[in-house]
Amino acid sequence: MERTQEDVSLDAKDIYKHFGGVRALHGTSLVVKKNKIISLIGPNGSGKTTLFNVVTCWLKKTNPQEKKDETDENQKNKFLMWLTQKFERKEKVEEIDVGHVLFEDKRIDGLSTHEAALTGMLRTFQTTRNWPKLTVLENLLVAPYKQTGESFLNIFFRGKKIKEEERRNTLKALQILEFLEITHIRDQLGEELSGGQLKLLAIGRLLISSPRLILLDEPMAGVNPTLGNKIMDKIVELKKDSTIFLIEHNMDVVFNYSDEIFVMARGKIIASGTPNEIQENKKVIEAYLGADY
Amino acid sequence: MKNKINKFVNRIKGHTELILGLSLALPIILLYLFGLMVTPRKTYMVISTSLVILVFFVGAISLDLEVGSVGLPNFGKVAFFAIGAYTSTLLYNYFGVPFPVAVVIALIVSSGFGYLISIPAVKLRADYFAIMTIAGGEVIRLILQYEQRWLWDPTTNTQTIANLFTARVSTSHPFNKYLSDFGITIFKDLGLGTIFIWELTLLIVFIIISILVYLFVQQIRKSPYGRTLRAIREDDITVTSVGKDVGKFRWQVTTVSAFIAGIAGVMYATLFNSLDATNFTPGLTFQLYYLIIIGGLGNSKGAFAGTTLVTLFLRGTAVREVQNTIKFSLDSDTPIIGSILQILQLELDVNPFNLRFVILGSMLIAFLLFKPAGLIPEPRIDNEKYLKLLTPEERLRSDEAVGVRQSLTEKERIEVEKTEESVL
Repeated sequence: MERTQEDVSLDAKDIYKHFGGVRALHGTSLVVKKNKIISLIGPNGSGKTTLFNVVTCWLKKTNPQEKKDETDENQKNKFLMWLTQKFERKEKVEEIDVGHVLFEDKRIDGLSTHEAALTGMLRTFQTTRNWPKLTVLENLLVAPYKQTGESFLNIFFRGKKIKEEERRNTLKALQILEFLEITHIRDQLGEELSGGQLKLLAIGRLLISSPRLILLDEPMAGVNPTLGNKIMDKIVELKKDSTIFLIEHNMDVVFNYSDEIFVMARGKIIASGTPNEIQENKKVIEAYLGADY
Repeated sequence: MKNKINKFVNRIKGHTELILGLSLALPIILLYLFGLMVTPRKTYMVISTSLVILVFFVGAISLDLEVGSVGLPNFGKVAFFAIGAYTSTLLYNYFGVPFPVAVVIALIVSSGFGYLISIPAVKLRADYFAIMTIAGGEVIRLILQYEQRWLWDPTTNTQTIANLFTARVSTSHPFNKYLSDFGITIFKDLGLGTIFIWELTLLIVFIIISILVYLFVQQIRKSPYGRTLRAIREDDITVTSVGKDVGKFRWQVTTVSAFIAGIAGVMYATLFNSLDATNFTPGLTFQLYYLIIIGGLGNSKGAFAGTTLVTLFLRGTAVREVQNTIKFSLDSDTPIIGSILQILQLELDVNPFNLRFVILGSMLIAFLLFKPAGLIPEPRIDNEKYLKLLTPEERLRSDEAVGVRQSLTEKERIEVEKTEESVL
């Protein structure tokens, strides 16, 4: 099986996510290999961000079994059936667990959002978020995992250890600022930054926790091409320590930098492969430009 | 001439906060001083004003910790005041628990309630959190209104409980003496009135408590914990996305601030001879709100400034002599509107006391419109405290990188980039 492979970072299998009648994800499966740049492309509304949200536990995946019941004609009798089940003490039909999300062989679906983030898998958002009233340096310093100074009692009793840790984190934050070439905005507040700087800051915020899997939701959106290429160059440098999984609409970037590309349409992965394979895939062209093209 | 005006304007611009503060503080201080001069019980007025300032300062800090630091608009703060006050007083009055023990139990109960309320509340959005806390506060007040009937004596119908602790202390041995009995007669000689020892003791204890609470909250604010709280206030989704349990931070802060509100409640209770549920109406919560909004959200100094100003104003207006001196009457003799008042059979006395909430309300609106940051705004954070931790070399390296980019103007920067590109 795939899960025994050591070079797999993220393994998502049979993911369903329905919003009422809308089937955002319908049996999506994909395997992300370690230390690669993996891109996820697809038309608008194909479920890319939803997949990210499910994988990072911002949304709970739906169980398709339940949905089938609801669309069943017997839906009206559902309550009756439930009652009879209760009273006759029938063995409850065991819920079939459909699909899973594995991160480095550990099951993460079902974790709460912050627990999922603590496993070493961090994400950015499509609309860049930051803390406007904190300085750029502080924006980075908030992020590291499980700081001593974040536990309420520690702030009164473990001042020394906190100071040491703060020093270490500050050094690391400065290194990251240097790496991203944004040291000059170190002392500015989050609200004073430009869009491109915010994108870089969002990436920096992830890096300070040294995540093993980085999910980037449209890192290039609204960024001028020069800066976009710079961001991509930085991302390529990250490849040696972590896996990068990104959603992107800029095809030049996707085809130039990715090691593997997944194409999504209507909640399913319709194609996957190297950039060259994808470029020649008819299904992909269909999904993007319509069947008649 | 024009130059001079410009110079003057520029000079003022740097000190807008100071000027604003003074223009607000001066009339209030003058009013208070006027009240102080005309009232016969001068020392009493000063001491009681200070006590009220300290009580509300602790309460305001408690509220500010929630509203200013984490962004949880708690509108039920008064409930924790009430729990602190009632628990300590009831335990002391009816169960004979020594007062310090009663206070400790009261604080535990108060923070316990804070925790209970936080369980459902931290999952709510800020506006729903406000609605829930205001409802919760009212429920607790209504329960406490007939607490004896609810809790242990169904036959009684009293709503008022005597504050035996204050009564006993103020009549027991060393505390019931005047300061002049101990040889310090300066206040009496100057004709400023007399000071009871228990008043003075209470003042000292209150000052110590306020300083301790201030330091406690300050410690929270400047720690990494406080930094994360600020981040949660700005955007909780990003905080969750980097692996922090926002709910945990929220319930901890709610509990801690309920604890502090409990302290304020116990302090508040000692100011009264008897407790009554009407002392704990939502109005008290709103009073705390305008203290911190006028003073400045998110820092304890602002809370202190706001509390001092508003309390001085309220106390100044409350002096009877002030009410009788600074006033004008509107009745049938008034020009222009006199006839209308005659028809309505109205006789109005306009004085600072009657207008106090109008004035406070206008102040609040003016602040929200023109200076939402308050009298003393939350200090702009600089990175100094982090950079201080580094060795000089490490720091110099980063500082240089900051300096290089800042010294370039935008135009030069573009040129540099162009040359870089052409080299490539």
